[in-house]
Amino acid sequence: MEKFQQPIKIPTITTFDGRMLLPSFQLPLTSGEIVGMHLDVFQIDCLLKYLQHYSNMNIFFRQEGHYERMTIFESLKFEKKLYNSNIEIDDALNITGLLKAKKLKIKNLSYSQLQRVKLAKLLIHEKPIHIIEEPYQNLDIETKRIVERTLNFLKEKGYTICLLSASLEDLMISTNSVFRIEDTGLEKFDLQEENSIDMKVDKQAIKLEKIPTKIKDKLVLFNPPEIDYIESVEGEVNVFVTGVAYPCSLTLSELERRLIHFGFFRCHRSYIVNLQKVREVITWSKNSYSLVLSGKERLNVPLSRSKLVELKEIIGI
Amino acid sequence: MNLSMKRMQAILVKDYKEFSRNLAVSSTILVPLVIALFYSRMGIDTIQVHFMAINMTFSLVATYIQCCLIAEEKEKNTLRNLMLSPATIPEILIGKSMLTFIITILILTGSILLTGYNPGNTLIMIIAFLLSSIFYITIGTLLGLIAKTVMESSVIVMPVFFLFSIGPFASAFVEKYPVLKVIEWLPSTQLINLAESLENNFKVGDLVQPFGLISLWIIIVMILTVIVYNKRMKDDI
Repeated sequence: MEKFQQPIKIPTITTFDGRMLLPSFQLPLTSGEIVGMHLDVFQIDCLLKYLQHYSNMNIFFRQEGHYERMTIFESLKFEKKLYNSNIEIDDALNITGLLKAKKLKIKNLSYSQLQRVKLAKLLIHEKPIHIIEEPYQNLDIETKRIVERTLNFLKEKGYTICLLSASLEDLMISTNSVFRIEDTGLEKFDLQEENSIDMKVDKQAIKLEKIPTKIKDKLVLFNPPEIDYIESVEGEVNVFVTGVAYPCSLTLSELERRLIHFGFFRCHRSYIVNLQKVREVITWSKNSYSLVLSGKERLNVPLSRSKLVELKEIIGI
Repeated sequence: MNLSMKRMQAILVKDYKEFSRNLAVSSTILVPLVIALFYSRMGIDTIQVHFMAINMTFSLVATYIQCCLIAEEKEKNTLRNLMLSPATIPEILIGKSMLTFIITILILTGSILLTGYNPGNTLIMIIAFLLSSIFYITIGTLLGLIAKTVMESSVIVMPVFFLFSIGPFASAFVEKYPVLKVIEWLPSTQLINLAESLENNFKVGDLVQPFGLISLWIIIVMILTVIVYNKRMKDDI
């Protein structure tokens, strides 16, 4: 197997009306590692369109065609010949748990089984870099386990794997190095196992400067400057970072106390905003105001009248 | 250019399995045989009638089946996989044409046997048939790349069927409508002209026009096909 040599740089990708979709960045690939990238569906589409011109990459599309009238075994045999591969078909079937189903026709398979067939094809393709779109979406538990196992198998063989998904939870099943796109480029998620953080806190009782949010059993930590605003709806606190909501277990007043030194401001009974990100103050009527944040989404945060005076003082107008 | 037989053969085997299990398309190959059977029983024995069956084989088997095979790859989104695989453009296009070529030759032989056509010079006629199959298969590839679904491909093939298979009959009206002289330039008409000149004493000079024109058609359609393929490659990928 050839190793990939040059780092792969992605140019800035814009939509047809000139809005920036992806900033220029370098793909965070390391051989023998799985990395994840947290992107929205449209960004994934554009990135894949760009990447498929690379011949050393194998791309695993979410939607991929199949020869429906062939059996699993026949279509894998076809792929094997087409790619001149040395992998034994039965091995690929074994890893993906399809050995018993190999005589079934593709059109009779369930979605999860199809996903496994695609995985078996991926094993046969033997390219140094595998780009995988939405590996865990809509799968049954058994297949999820198989996907995880196959990815680890590839990783141990020294392949480079990059997962693209709109769901952070999915990415975190397979890897701890997950990136997201900021306006300036790639940013790595600061992920740590929940247990290790608890231990630290117990020992030193230090005050964390990072804001913990929770997704499944993982804690995702954000630096305060990354946060756009925090919202509390029906007692649930959500931290918004680049338009994505991350649930947080702290209360708004706790967060306010922690964040006030970082230039955050309680602009409303249920909102805290990062003042560094505020671009405009809009007056709707005498009693209603809102703050518009910088960034491509132009997020709106309500501002209560009582807080307007306070805000003016802070900004100095 | 380095063509990998293994890849083309893999595409051929795959196409055969897909094709033989798709009765809606594969049953079409019987139509020219049935027509040939009718004509042979009617006892008409003119070149025009023999070539009715032969030209129909070309457009219904070579063009239509090739068009369906390519359009199905597009409809099922598998053409992208082929394009992204290590197979080169000639490997894909030749591999995808091989099955249709074999079927065309088989059905052609079958319908000629049924109508009892006996060409004046078998060798020259075989070469002309082979060239014509290449032409009709290339047209099928071109149409298949243009059509988006198998359904659409059966519509898009109709003009080809009328123009190339029924077209030569219109030469009867040439004196009334001089516009129809264009038909003289069709490869199917040229094939009939060739067959007619083979029946009598022929000179080598008589062969130049039909073979030259059929080859010219092949070259034009091939260039178009490669252009459309490359365009599709940019659009789809």
